[in-house]
Amino acid sequence: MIRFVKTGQPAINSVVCDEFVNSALADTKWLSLRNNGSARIKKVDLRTKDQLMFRYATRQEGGMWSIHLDSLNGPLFTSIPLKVTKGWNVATVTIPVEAGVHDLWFKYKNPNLKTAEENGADFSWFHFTQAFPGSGEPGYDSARQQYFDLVSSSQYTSTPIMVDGPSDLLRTSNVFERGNWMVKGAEVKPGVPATLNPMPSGAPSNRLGLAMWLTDKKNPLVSRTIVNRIWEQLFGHGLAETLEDLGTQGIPPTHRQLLDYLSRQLMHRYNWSLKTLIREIVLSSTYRQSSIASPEVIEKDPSNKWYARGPRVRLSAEQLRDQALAVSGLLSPKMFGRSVMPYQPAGIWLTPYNGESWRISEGEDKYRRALYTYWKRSAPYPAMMMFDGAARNVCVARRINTNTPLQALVTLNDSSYLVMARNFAYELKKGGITDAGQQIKKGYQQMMYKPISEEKLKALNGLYRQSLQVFTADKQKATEVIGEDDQHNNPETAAMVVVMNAMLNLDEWITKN
Amino acid sequence: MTQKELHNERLAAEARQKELQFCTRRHFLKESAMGFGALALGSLLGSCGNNMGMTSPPAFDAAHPLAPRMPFFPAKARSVIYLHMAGAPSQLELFDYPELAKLNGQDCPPSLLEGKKFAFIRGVPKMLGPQANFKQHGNSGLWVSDYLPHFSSIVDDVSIIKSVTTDQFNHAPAQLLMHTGSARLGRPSIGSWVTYGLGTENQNLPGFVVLTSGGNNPDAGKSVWGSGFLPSVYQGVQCRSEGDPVLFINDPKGIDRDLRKASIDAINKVNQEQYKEFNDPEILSRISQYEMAYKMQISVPEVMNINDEPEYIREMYGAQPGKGSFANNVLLARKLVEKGVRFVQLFDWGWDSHGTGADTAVDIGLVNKCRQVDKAMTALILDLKQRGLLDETLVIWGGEFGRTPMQENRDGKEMPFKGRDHHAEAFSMWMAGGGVKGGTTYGETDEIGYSITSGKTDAFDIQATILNQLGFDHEKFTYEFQGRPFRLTDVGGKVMTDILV
Repeated sequence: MIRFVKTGQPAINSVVCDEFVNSALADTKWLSLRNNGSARIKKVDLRTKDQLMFRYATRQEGGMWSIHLDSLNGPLFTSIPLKVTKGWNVATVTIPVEAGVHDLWFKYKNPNLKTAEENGADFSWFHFTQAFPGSGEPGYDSARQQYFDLVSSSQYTSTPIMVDGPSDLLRTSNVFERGNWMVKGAEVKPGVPATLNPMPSGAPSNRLGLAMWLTDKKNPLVSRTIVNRIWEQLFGHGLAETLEDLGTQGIPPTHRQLLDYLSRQLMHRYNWSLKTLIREIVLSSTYRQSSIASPEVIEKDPSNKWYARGPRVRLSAEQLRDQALAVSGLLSPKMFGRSVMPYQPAGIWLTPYNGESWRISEGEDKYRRALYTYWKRSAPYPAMMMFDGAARNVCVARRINTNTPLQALVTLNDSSYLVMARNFAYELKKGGITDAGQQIKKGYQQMMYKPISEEKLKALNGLYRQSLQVFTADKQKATEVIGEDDQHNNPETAAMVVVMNAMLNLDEWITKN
Repeated sequence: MTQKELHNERLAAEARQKELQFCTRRHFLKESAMGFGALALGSLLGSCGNNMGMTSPPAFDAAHPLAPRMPFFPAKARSVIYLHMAGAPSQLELFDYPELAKLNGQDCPPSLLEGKKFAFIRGVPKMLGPQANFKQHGNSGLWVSDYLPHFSSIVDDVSIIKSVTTDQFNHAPAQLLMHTGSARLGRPSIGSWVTYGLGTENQNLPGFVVLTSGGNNPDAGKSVWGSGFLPSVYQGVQCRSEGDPVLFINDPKGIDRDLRKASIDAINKVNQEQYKEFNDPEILSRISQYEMAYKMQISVPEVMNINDEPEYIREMYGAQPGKGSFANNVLLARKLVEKGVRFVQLFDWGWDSHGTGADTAVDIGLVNKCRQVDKAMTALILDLKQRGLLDETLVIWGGEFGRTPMQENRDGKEMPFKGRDHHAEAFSMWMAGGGVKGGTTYGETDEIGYSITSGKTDAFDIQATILNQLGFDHEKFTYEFQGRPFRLTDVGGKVMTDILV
């Protein structure tokens, strides 16, 4: 119904409570108040707020929660009877409008609690806000009800969104002396490095201000960085090779004027449109050159940093998987939602003290794009790690492509790739094409968008014949490749699976030419 | 014939047989390898740089990331076998023999508790005397307990470091600190650093191999052999006792060796056609990687197969084929370093002797754990020695921290079994081979094994020493990341020259 609701934020989380008397942070995070218990939240800005929304749980009838201003026995701000809940509940009450910023002292009383140790009520957050707008308008009550139903509902998966804390919720930040968080040095305020351009005038000292500073036209660094990164995506290496460092410690750009020109265009002409930038680059004659080069050119410029030929770049871990899924007809177009668990060998997750396990997803979820793969940092998806995927333990500014035998083993032997080869072989039979040579030609055309050459066809036909011989002689092997009860279980198809498995390993497939 | 002569005779016979096998294999590989791949391999090995005398790390070559490279200065050790007992073994039952017995059962004096934080101990715990009996062994007279009867016989070959300390008292961060130089995720492990610095000697096997036993991975997960910010090619390759020995090394069902060979031949033929058109040397490199993958498919299962080992060797380690045991892994470690693998990392899980059950009691479960490793780790030293490999193989044994001289009283309550809590302040490790002195101890703790009194040694010192034995100055062995050079040893580490030959 509604895909996005931003509300109740920024909330004051119960972890900021202190001054606990017969109360505690249960499970280190929930404020848990027992009979006659109390706790405090410091410095809450109450100005213009007339609603208190809070998330709580209580199983005890008769609980009364009171809030006092500035000291435990300070003036009573409000008293709130707490109704019994089933699990967590979000409630909203009207509160008096109070001027200024106050420490709030919470007290809890419940005559039904027999002992001091018995738990009364738990709270997870508090949010002071203004009344639902539109009072007196037609349909106000139902709109308001719908809003609160949504807020209290547990049926919707919520994705946390970062929100700037308002000034009264900002914490003070200190320099950690010699990196030690226990030893706090001078207090620091948001700012930008003094050696770079200052914040634009009027920019607030928050994330918005930072964004304004980043995209200030006086600061070409962001534009240069983006241009360089996009260039790297297209050509395999940036105009400045060190994507992570365009400063004095990085490798200077090979074509500085070009980098400057494109970043100026991006800011001033393309109005930050990356699409326009990419269009400009891919339509250039530099990009449109063939990757074919003479031995002389390659000897003079082995890494192609002077661009006398078109780029040849190995695809990324994610691209490789997506591309193979796509051509084999398995790729699920499904978007959004939870991460999925495609096939991975057993025993990758072996974590002490918890029972988590990798459960292979059902149906098309097995074949979603690589970016939907469930990621556990201490046991990342192995096939992607082998193709230089990042474990995501640290921010990796640049992936470095390597070429190792273990990569060959992934695309040759990983069951996922076998499933893809199998499906690809089935697809090729469609439309009544029975001749193996025709199927190979069709497969190659689909993969590379060009007809196969005589010599290449010869090599792959040879592999087909050899495989066919093996599977004709030993039908059991064909069954192992295809599976028992499958309509495709015959030596011809099994042989084609072997050929497609080989084709998904070709250099020209793994590499962008 | 003396025992020693008999041993030598057997070893010589084994060596002759291996040599024969090797010749046949070399012949076979030569025949089966295609001209093109051989050419690429030549250029690959040809790029073997010589950094001797240089003080900075070699430039990273993405085309040949694993080509063998020379260290900064001549190395004492060629390979490293690191035996990590995940969970932290009790030094007080094994090596460190303090006068703790006298205090057994008494309340812990408040001076030991003031300002200290423990993982589980609350209030005032009781002191717990060593559960093992200690004796002096060997010519050197080192103290070792009766939990390790085999190990006691080789003390003259090892250096016991009694004064290791850490600032982490939970498993995962302490393991990370030990292996990556940082308690937080994201730094490369020591094996990755070494592979980055030295490449791989045997291109048919991974250069950095990890073996785990005890039924679990270490608490810190694969990050303890991860490559952090180094290219991921340098991460440890886990060899497994179940499933594929190395991920994806086995051919798919129904595709046999010959057919796999035929596939790779076809792939490489097409790639050669591609090369003719594009002239890109990367294509040659890919051709050679496919040939190497094929060779690896032969070499890895072969080296991982301990059935080939003579009966007396298996007996020596207590290895039983088909099990994912520590003993099997130790034997594999020897086979791997013999074949030129640079860094072999073993993790054995189950040393967390809290006393919450019999299996974690220092007088029951710990005895069993010791039984599982004692014979094998002893055999490793003896076997390396008789093969003349001990001099060039550095063996390290230890956990991520130590255990308290107090009996654990989880939640302030007395517990049914005798256990010890995590203790970061003092614990013991040992090293052998690879230029480390034998029959010595290093460092001292106080009379109850609680605090270090001399020779304080931290993870950085251990790491600096390992790198030193491999020919690296740990202060100059750096990698540029996020605008500054990073070291394994951060800003710490001193080479432990006192235990070096």
